[in-house]
Amino acid sequence: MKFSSLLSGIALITCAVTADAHAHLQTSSPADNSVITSSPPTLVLNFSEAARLTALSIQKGSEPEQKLKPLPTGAAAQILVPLPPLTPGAYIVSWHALSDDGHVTSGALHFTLSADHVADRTG
Amino acid sequence: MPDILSVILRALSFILLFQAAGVAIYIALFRRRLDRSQGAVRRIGQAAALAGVVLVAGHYALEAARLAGDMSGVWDPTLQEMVWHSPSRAALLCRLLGLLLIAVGLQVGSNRSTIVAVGGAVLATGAFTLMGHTSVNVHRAALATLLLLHLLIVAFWFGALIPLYLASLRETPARASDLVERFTAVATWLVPVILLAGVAMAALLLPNLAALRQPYGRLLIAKVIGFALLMGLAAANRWRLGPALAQRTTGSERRFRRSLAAEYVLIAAILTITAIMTSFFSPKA
Repeated sequence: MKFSSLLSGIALITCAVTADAHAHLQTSSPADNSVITSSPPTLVLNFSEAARLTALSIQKGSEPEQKLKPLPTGAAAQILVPLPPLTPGAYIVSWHALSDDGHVTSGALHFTLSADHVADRTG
Repeated sequence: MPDILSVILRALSFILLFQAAGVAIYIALFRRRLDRSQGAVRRIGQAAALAGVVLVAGHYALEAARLAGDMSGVWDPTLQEMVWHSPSRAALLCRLLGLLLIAVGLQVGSNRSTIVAVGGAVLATGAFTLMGHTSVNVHRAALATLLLLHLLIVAFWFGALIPLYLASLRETPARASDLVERFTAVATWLVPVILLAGVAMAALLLPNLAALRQPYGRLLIAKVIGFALLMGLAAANRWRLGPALAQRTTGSERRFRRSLAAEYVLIAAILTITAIMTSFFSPKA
């Protein structure tokens, strides 16, 4: 048995008390670290369990962050939010949510809207 | 900003809550054997409980700020209402009531007040079963029981360290070594229960080991290392420092107190890691 596996096993046994998982982002569209070729009309967030989105923002490069509203009012595992038209560049989407188990959870995803592709289409 | 502030408050509130609950349990178990340190121990328990009330309330208020992503959330009635209608409310009320009962129960040393303090300790630690994954799991009843047992024993262990330190300073050497011997006798039986409860909870909660490869898992491993060091210190107390204290070997009291201080710092560090883990990460298994 590898040392890391042994440690992991001991951790599993002795520290189960801390295994109070919160809703976490499983997949998204645009996907994290993806390069896309056209401005997506909608942001799709797929959580591991139902969560209520409480804050969502998008930031292009060093430009000011833009709050995305309105947000869905109920809790759901899949959340869809309309996006404004995006111009080529690197984006960070930051989200904050409340899990069904009462924990606050948050994260960020990065994607790039390719300038070349947009230029190809418009050229 | 709210995340960092929140995790600091959370870690400190964990330390104070377990300190207060542990003092209540210590007083219940050893009150009749405390001659010169009882008053100071009770005052420490009360102070921890009251400071815990402030930090628990402060941490709760910051939940809305975390939901907003900035401090403006504290003043946002919609977000505060959202937190109020989440399991956070029951956990908050349970913790506050538990801590207040500890503070009141430790005011005097009667049987009735000790029962009140221990009831507060059960409530304050029981609050942990009202939130988190255990609270929404299909095996909730079993998990809540195991978690409560696990946490009460942690409180018993952590909460006894400062009182034992005080006993070594204020009680007669014979009384201090008697207390250490009796605490060790109880701890020897209870500490394995922490492990057994952990095994049972792991079997119910976690599907595999894959979660431990995430940042969450690395923090778990850090906790395990801390736990292993603690076991080493506890073993030293059990077989070396405790007997040396009883025989009044030169320097034994100083070495014993140093060991207690190291245990305290280690458990506080483990509680801090727990606060970070449960604030920011999930197993993702």
